[in-house]
Amino acid sequence: MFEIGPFEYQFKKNAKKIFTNHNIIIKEKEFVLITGPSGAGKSTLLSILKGIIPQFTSGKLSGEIHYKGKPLDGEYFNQNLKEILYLFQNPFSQLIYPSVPEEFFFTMENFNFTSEQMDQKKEEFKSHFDVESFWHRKTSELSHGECQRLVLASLLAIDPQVLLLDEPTAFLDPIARANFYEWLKNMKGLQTIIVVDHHLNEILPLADKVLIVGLNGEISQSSQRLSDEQKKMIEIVPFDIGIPLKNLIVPCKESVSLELSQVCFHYLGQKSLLNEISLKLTAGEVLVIKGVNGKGKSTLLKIIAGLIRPKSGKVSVMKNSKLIHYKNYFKEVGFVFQNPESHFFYDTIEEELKAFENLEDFEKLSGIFLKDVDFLRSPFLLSEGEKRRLSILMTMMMNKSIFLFDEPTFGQDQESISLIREMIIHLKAMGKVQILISHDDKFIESLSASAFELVEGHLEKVS
Amino acid sequence: MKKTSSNEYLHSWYLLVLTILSLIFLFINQEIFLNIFLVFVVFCFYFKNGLSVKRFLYVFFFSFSIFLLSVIYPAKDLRSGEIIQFFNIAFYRTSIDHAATSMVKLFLISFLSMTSGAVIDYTKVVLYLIVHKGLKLFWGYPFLLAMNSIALFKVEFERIRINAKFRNLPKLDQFSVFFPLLVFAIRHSQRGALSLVTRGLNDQKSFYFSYAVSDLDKFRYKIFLLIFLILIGIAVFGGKVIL
Repeated sequence: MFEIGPFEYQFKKNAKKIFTNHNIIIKEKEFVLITGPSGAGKSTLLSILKGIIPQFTSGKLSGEIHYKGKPLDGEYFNQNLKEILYLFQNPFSQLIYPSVPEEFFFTMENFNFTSEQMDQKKEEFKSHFDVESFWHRKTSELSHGECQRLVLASLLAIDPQVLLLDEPTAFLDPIARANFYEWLKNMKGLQTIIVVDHHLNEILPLADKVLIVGLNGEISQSSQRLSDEQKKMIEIVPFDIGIPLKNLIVPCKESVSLELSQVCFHYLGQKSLLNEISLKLTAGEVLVIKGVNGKGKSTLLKIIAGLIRPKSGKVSVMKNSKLIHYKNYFKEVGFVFQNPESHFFYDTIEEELKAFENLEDFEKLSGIFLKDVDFLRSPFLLSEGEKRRLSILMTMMMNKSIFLFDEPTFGQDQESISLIREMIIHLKAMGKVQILISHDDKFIESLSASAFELVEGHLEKVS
Repeated sequence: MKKTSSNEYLHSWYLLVLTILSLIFLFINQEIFLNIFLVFVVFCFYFKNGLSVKRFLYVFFFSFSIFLLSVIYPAKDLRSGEIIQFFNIAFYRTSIDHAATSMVKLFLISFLSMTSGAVIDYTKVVLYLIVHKGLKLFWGYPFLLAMNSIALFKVEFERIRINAKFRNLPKLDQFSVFFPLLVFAIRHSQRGALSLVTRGLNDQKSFYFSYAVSDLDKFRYKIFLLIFLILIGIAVFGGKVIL
C-alpha cells in the first residue's frame, strides 16, 4: 500500500533531517506503530504519508514515497483525501465549528453522505467515544480529551482506508484509553492503521510492524519484538541527571502549606463541577489527581493557583504560618499548563532561558531536557514533546514553593518521563509542594505519591 | 428533510439584516421618539432570540456614564442659562438637556452594536449564505474558522497573561505577551487551513442541517419590514431625515 523508498526530508538548511536508507513497505490493513524519542520526527513522517509534506509545507523532500503505486502529492493528494485520514496531535487545531454536532458531521458532509447515513453514524459514534456526554456543549468548552474524541469520531465516521493517528490517546483518561485500544483491536485487519503512540505496553501487542524514528531522524524498521535497547524505552527507570541539582533548585527555607476546605465550584449556568473538596499538603508532599476527562481536574488546579475563585469553601496558602492573599499566589506558585506554547515569550530558546544563563549547570540540564536542539531556534518550532519539556524545565527552575503540573508526561518518550520523574523527586526533597494531574498510571506509580481520583466532583483516594 | 441547527425565534440572517437597517435609520433620522420605537421593536426580537437583561443593563450603564461626564464637565458653550442645585452641586440645565439627548442616542446605537453580537449566530449566517445564497466555500469557511477562533484566542491570551505573571517577566517584557498571541494566531490559521483541506472540504459537499429560513421567519421579518417602512414614512414626511 505504502512504498517508502530511501528518502530524506529537511525543513530548512541545517535543520534536523528525517530519512531512511531502506525500502519500507506498509501492506494493506497492516497495523504500524511509529515510535521513537520525542522530537525525532514522528509527526513529520505522518505528514509525509498524508501528503501534507511537501504539498503544503516548505522544505526539501527527496526520494520516492508512493501510495498504491502513485505519489502522494500534487493531483494525487485530492484523490487520497477520503482514503487517508490524519488526526493531528493537537485536536483543537482541527476544530471548525463552535457546536459539537456540526463538527461531528463536517467530515461526512465533505464526502457527500446523506442525512440518513449521517444519522446512522451519529447513533453509532455517540455512544462509542462517549460523544453523547458533550453533544450539547460548545467546542471551545471541551477538554483536550473530549476534543480528541470528537475529532476522531468525525474522521472515523467516513470509514477511511488508512488512518494516520498522531498520539490519539495522549489526552485520554485510562478508561477512555482502554476503550480506544479495544476499538483499535477490533479495527485491526479492517483498515491500515499507522499510529504514533508512547503507550508501548498497550499498543505494541497490536502492531504488525514497528517503525522507529531515531534521535538523528533515521527511520528503521522493526518487527513486533523490540531489542533490549528499544525495550528500555518502555520502562520508567531511575534517571541519572548527573548534575548536582542543589545548585539549581532553591530549597524551601520557609514552611509552606496548602489547604483546601470544602471547596465547591461550578461554571455559570452549569451543574456543579467540584463538591466540598478538602485536602491539606505540607512541604515536600506530592499529590496526583486522576479522573475522567472534563470532570474538573484542570479547574481545581486553577482554583489552587488563585486564577479562579471557588463558589464556596476556602483555599489557603500559608508561608511561615502567615496566610497569603490569593492575589499573591502567583509569587508562590509555578503552573505548567496543558498547552506549552503559552509559556513562551521570546524569539529563541536561549532568550527564554536567559534568566538562568549565569549557571553553567543549568545549561547542562537544559541540554539534557532538549537533546540535540539548537538553542537559537524558536521555542515555537520545537516538537510538541520538546515544547512540553521546555515549559516544565522553565517552571521547575523558578523559585516557587508550590508547583502545579497539568499532564506533564503528555507526548513524552519513556526516557523523558524518567527525567521528569527525577526532577519531581528532587523538588520533593527540596520541600516543594507539588500537585500533578496525570493519566499515566505507570508514572503515578513510579512517584510513590498519594493519588486521588476526581469522581462526581469529589476527591477519592486511590490505593 | 433536513434538520434545523437551532431553535431561533427569528433566523440570524434576518436579525443581521434588521440590525443593519435599524443602524442606518438611527444615523439618518433625527426624530428621537421614532428611533426609540424602532429600537424597542428590535429589542423585542433580540429578547425573543435569547438576549439577557444583563447585557441590556451593561449598555444602559455605559450610556449613563457618558451622561454623567457630560453633565459634570459640560462643554464651554453649554455653561449658560438656568442653574439647578443638586446635593449642593450646581448643574446647568442646558448641559443636562444636551447630555440626556446624547445619552439616549448613544444608548440606542450602543444597544444595537453591543448586543447584536450576542444574539446573532454568525456561524449560521455564514452557512446560510453558503448553502442558500451561493457564497463560495473557500471564502465562507476560512471566515468561519477565524470567527470561531476568537473564543480560543481569548482563552489563550488569558493563559499567556497568567504565565507572564507567574514568570514575573520584567516590566518592559510584559509587552511581549502579544508575541505568543501572534504566533498562536498564525499557527492556528495554518493548522485550521490544513484541517479544512485534510478533512476534505470541497465544492460538492452536502450539509446535514438546512440553515434555511422558515415561513415563520419570513412572516416575522415582514412584520418588522412593515413597521420599518411606516417609520421611514413618518420620518420622511415629518422632515427629520438628514440625507
